Amino acid sequence: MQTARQPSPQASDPTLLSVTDLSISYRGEQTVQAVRDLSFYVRAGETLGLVGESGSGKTQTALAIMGLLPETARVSGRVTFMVGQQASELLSMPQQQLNTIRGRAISMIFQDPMTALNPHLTIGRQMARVLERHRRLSRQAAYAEAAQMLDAVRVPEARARLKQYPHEMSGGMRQRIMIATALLCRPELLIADEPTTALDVTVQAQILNIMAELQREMGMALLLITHDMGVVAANCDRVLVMRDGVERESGEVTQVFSAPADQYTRDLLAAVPRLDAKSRAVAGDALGGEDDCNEGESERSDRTRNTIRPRQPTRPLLTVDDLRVTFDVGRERWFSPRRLLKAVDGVSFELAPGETLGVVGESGCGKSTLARAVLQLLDGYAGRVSLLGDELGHLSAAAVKAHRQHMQVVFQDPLASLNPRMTVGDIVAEPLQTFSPQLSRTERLQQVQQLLAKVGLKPEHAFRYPHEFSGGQCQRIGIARALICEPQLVICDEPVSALDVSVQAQVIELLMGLQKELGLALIFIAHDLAVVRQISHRVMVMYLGRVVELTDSDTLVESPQHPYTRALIDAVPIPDPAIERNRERLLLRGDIPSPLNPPSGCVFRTRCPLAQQRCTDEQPQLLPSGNAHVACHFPVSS
Amino acid sequence: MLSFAFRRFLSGIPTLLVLLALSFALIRVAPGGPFDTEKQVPPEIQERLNAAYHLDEPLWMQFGRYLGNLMRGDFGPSFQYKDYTVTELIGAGFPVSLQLGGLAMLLALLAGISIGTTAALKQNSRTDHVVMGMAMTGISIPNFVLAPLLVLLFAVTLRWLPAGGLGEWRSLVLPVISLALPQIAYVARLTRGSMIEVLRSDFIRTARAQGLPTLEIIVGHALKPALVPIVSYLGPATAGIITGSVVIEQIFGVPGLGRFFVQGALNRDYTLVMGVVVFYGVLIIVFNFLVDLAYRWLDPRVQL
Amino acid sequence: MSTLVTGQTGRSLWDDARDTLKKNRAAMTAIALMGFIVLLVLAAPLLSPYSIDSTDWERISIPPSFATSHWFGTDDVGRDLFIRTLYGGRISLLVGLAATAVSLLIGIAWGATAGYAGGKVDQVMMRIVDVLYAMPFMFVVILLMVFFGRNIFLIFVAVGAINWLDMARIVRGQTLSLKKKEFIEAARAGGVSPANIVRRHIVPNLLGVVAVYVTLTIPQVILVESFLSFLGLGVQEPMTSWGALVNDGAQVMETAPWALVFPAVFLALTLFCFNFIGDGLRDALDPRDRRDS
Ligand code: SF4
Repeated sequence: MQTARQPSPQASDPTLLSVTDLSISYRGEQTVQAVRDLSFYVRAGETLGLVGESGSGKTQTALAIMGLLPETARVSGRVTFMVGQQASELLSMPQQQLNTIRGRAISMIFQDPMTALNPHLTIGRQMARVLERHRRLSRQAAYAEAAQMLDAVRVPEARARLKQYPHEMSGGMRQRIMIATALLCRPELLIADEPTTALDVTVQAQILNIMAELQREMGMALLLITHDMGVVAANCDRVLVMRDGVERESGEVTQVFSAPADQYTRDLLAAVPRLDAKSRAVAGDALGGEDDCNEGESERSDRTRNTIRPRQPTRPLLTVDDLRVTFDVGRERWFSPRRLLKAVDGVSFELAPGETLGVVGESGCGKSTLARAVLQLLDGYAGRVSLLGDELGHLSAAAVKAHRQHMQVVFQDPLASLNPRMTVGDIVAEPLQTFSPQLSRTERLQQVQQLLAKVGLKPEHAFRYPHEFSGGQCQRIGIARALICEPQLVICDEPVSALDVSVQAQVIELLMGLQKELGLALIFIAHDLAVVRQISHRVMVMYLGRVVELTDSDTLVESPQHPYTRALIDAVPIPDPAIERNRERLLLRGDIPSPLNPPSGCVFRTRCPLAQQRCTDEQPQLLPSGNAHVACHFPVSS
Repeated sequence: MLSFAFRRFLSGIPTLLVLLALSFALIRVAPGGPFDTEKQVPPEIQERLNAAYHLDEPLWMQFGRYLGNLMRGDFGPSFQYKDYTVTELIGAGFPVSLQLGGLAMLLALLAGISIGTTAALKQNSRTDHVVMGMAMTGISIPNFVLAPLLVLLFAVTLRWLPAGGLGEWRSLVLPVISLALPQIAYVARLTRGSMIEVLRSDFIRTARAQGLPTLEIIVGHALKPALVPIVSYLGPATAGIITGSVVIEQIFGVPGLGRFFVQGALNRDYTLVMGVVVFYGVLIIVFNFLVDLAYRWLDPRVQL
Repeated sequence: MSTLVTGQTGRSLWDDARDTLKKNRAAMTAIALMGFIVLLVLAAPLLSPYSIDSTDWERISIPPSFATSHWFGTDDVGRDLFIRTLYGGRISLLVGLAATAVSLLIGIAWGATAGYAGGKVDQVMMRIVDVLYAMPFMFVVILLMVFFGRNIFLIFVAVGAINWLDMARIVRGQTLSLKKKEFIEAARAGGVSPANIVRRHIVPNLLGVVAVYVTLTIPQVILVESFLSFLGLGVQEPMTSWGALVNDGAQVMETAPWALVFPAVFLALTLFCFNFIGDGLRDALDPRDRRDS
């Protein structure tokens, strides 16, 4: 168990970095103003959070400080950094002199640990190069020092890692290596640009923890750039909110979060899904409850009490029974056995008409494969998937095709899920051509335009092409395509994770509204537990292809029973500094094992703080436990 | 690494077999034997000749015999140069061609990579545009057009360099340049493209953020990844230089393997032609194998 | 509510590409120049009083002269080089187009099948491509020419047969990456038949790459044909091609440099134009480059 960060440093600490009237623009056919008249400062040892959505100019600001902007950028203003007792102006500094500060007094880590390390050099070579340059260490001394730093960021077997290449490691491990490399010269200021955005949430918690620890130890200042209000609340002393290159609000974190002065800050905070907020799906409106309040009420209380298999007046819409999906990933070398990847390993559940089932899990847990198997998009699977009582695996291709009308999908990447060469109208109308071939072109267009209006777009958008729309709009188009044939089930595979928070909130709002209006059942797949809780009636937690816990969404978050669920919940930062600073957390160790070679017994045992011998020997089954179904030998008592 | 090398090596064998079978089949199926072209030969002499060259055996036996001989490095006698075996002819011609081709390749790589890198570093500057325009010209002028033009200019008009022959180093200058120029242009374009892409990548930004000086970034971080496409171009480049050497040797009168090949082709000297094709085939296959190894070294992510 | 709303059709990717291409001065110049060369070559008989094999015994090997209408001079048997260069261009361009078409057909069929079928089929098909790819093909083509005589049709086939390998690789790679795209999955989930998926979703997205590649294949093919003709293995007299003319010219360059220069310039210009057009198309059609600029 770890406690959150210590209270902020004293306001009397000297200013380390000050940015005055920074403006960045790009000349092109139209001049783009990326940042305008931005001023802020960072004191020694403190953490300043720079938050904003995409296009807010936060990364541009960081790159300007580091002198890393492309040559086409025009920069004005001042960036002053204290080197010892002396203030130096960074923007006008010649490259050569700047190189004595970059990587030494100021370091930076980047968002994507997959691309930020050189794939062609060993880790050791990349780290040693920095030490050789800035601290004039011999190669041997540099390697020793690098190994020590890897130890400090808790990379296991540091010495051996130095000889490895980045692609041989997981994302979390690489980000640790990035941090270690950045800290090699013990900088006074670390700029971290979305350091955990590309990582799974339990790994994010580890990384943020290590960063906070090292920051305390080294007494360095941190400029943390993020879009995640929760991360700010948990990690920053002060915060600056940006939008469209302009500062909207800044101040102490506690103050900004408790009494935001700016409208945009308020909207942003309101849009962030909170893990500690009750499920709207359950609280607001339950299954099929139209205007009939009484019936809705009674059904809801019914649901919250008996949630695992909701009492079903009718047969379930979808039944999945012992679903298994195995991929053959070929041989590692000649004559070695074929390697099988069990992407989904025995998953069963039922879904009632109009119900929302949330599926959460981190990368490699099989949630997307599950979706594709249910949608009959995979070449093969074992187990049974029945829609409306018909087992799809046994049907002819034509019959499966007929069933597709009732079962549609919304994908994660809004742009990639739309054919760039077709107009929006044709994209949305395509399923109609299959399922209602009798319609004329005009009739199809009419239906499409009505639906576009319903998902918040304009009818004339039907004639445009996908690349002319923003991410949120593209996702609306995807939703329209899914709904055009009036399906009974829509599977949403991470539908909002590529979107900014405010857009995310709108899309979720839209989905919930449509569900209510059309009586849709949803399977909502996401890695973000807060979003899932908000929208789902029940939630299924997956880990390495298996279901570890299944219960209604409020019970899951309020009294999780599986240690993994518990850790997952603890890892999600809550956008409220008061709560964050006093939170006790269960932090997991290590990374998610490769699904190619999952641990014996309980798949979670390598990271489980409660693991015992029995967990190695015996695979726990998903069994009823209190209000939930849990797959654990020693569930956390609720 | 060893098993990678071994598997790579084995995978060259089918290519070689297909090549052998194809060219062998071609030769046998083709109309007109080596002794048809001359005036009528009495049938009994024809028969004896056929027997002497085993032309009377069934095809598969001839192929088997041929393969067997190849294993021993024996390409058979030349039909045209009656006193020489093909092996001897290859032995005489290849060193000359190797010298020419090797120099051209070296020049192509050195000049191409440095020109390409310079252009990439000054992307969109005037230097970049001029250099790349020249590269495009280099690609568009085939070397058999370039060579006579160079001769016209430097040997005939200016009389700076000899127009051909072999001997002093000066006689090599024009052939090597005409052979190398298109390849220089290709390599320069490839290098520029890949260097620009590498310089834009995130890990170069990381290196700059670490305060490494530009030269160290280029040499230490960018060069290795930027060379990957160049290495994969080495195979086609070798093939290009070998093919080019055929005409260049012809134009400059260099007594290399390429000339034997063309003469052999025009005179229907089957064994010679086939010998050269097989020889170059093996050369290219071996070379590709080495390239694969280099590739693997440059990019540790590569798997077979 | 069921009224139909009309509206302006948006800008397709093709529109964007066309605009990008129009802004590329080098490419536009190349297109204009190429158009001019093609016109010239097609209109050849109208422009000159001479025919391809008529011999002007009075004027053997004369330099370009306007007085005699031998714009490009004559060769060593007194044939008009202007008309020969243009007719040679017909052959060169024809071979370029026809052989590219051959490679296009085989390459697309092979590559798309391998990419779409995937798995074992893909492995076997691409293995064959690999094997052929490593062959010294120019030599094999020379062998073909030597053994089966110089036949222009054979040149199409032989040259097309080399280039389809590249095309197959590119098409397969593109198909594979398209197949993984979510819009293809969405179409399958929407019950769209495989044939329609290929027609509506795969082919239109392949066209850009194929277009670029075709423009870059044509000059390669012209080069191969010229190379063969240069060696004396290409087209036969009295027909000619740029490669054959360059060869003839090279023999007499000391006495009659014009016989070398004119066909050489035409050949180089044509290759130059195609290469520039290909480059321009790539910039315009490759979405990756567009994003960066
Ligand atoms: S079964 Fe054991 S290892 Fe698995 S979650 Fe429960 S306590 Fe942890």
